[in-house]
Amino acid sequence: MRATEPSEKTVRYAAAFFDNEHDLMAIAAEARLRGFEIQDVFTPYPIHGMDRAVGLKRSRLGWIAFVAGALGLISAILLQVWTSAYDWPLNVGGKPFNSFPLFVPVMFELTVLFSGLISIGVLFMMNRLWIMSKKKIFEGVTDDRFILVLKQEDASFDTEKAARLFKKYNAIKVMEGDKFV
Amino acid sequence: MARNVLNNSMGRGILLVAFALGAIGSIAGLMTSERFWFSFLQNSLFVLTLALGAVLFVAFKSVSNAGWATALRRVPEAMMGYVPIGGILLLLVFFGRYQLYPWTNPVPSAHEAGLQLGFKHAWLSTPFFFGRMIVFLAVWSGLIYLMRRASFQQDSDGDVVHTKRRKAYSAIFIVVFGVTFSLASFDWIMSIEPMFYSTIFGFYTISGTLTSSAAAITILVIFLKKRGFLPAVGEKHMHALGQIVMGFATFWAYMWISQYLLIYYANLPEETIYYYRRTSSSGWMAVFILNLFLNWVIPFVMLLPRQVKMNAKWMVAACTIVLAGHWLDLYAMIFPAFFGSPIIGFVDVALTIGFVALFLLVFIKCIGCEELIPRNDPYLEESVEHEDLELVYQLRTETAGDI
Repeated sequence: MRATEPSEKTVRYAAAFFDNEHDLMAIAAEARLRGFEIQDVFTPYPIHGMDRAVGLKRSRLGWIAFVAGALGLISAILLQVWTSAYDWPLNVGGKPFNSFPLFVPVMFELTVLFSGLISIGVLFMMNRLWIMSKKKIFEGVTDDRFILVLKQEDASFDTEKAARLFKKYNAIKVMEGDKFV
Repeated sequence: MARNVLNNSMGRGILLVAFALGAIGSIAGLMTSERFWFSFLQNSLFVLTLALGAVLFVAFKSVSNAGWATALRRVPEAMMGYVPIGGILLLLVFFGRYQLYPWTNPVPSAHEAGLQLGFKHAWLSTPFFFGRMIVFLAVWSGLIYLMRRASFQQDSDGDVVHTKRRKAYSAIFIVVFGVTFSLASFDWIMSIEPMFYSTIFGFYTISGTLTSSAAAITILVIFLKKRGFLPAVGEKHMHALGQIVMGFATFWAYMWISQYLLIYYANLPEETIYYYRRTSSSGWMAVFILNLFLNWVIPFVMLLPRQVKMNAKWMVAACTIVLAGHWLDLYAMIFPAFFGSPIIGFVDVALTIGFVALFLLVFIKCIGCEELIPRNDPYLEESVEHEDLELVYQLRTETAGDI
């Protein structure tokens, strides 16, 4: 969900594995309450309300989709007006060269196409998922594991408190490391 | 508890007065105005489609196993109660058939002589026409009765079988309604201009129905929520309703352009006459453009930001625009056949007030009769926000206390 910062080598992470979404949801809310900083959560499928439990900010992707859609709309108008009225006017069924109603389907299609393709491209870029990029993922995250990753940024991170919290919500496994993905 | 508060409120008195004034105004209009039956058909369809759209709303939710709307389901279910009453009122069109439908006249004009040929003549005969109307309305009312009964029975016995039954009735309703409402809109609206035909006309009216009834549901939910009647409805429901209004408004625009574009492309005289009547005079042209803006452009742009969908005031404003758009849409479908310019007179105002007041009176009556939250519905937990779950458990433990 959030981009990682590969340059910050000193930052350590603690990842806890759970076997159901309810535990993950509950621990995410409690961890935030107790002052832990959540780096990210990993789940096999989208979970309703998870963004709120983790305290995610509103995604900026909506604006990108809007701008991309507007771009598609404008290019559809320019393309059709240019080709059918200026560059190579053709008389089709006696209609005017600039017949706006006939342009509407292409305007709609290009708006959807631009907005869809550009949003997905930007989504991959924001998540640093380039072509050929290699990412290591947690074992079982695409199957039946629900993972919470806490940031151990400063001295205030209480390892024992974290361990107690993980245990309270039946964590199956806890991993620690310098780089979590 | 809901029963007493809703029925004793001042609003009900105002509605009764409004209905009485509307009824008196309509009788006066019947005596004096040649526009009466057109306006009667328009306004009676306006409120009837709001109720029918509510049935579709519930049916879609139930067929697709959607849980989110369960907390507010009693609102569309109460709107459904208007269909039998609205259907009986619509049958009164029988007395205005000579003004409304040119094909009822015993001697057709030379222009309509084409109707004498073939299938259209047999289809558009008075007994068959009104027979169909009765059958359609009876079938819809019957299925609505079954859907409502299954929903209310679950409140008392909590049996899951009612959810399954409701799903089966909903599936039947969707299939039956798709065919019958399409035919009904050919009959009731399109046959005002019997020479014109458009096969997408039925889906065009269904799209308007869906949009406007979603808007009406939203307004009623916000109204009831503000008075504290729907405690389990939260931001996520408002967001979803906003998405539905916006989505169906776009569906309406899609249907609108689909109908317009094909007629524009083919340029056949018997089809283009429909748009010629609606765009040749400046008055109707203004209605034609305003219709597009009210039904799609304004609500679409307004409802794009997510925050607006969760803001009660903005949502009420957007939904009111959509409802006004649906009213104008029906106006632009029915009136241009016989009237050279758009006039909104006394009779239109009286009928609109009368029908809307009647619709709201029936709504209050229906929503007051039952629990406002279907407390034993298995989807109720899925529907409410996490922090409202306590409320659900409370409702369930209250059991037979207040029946």
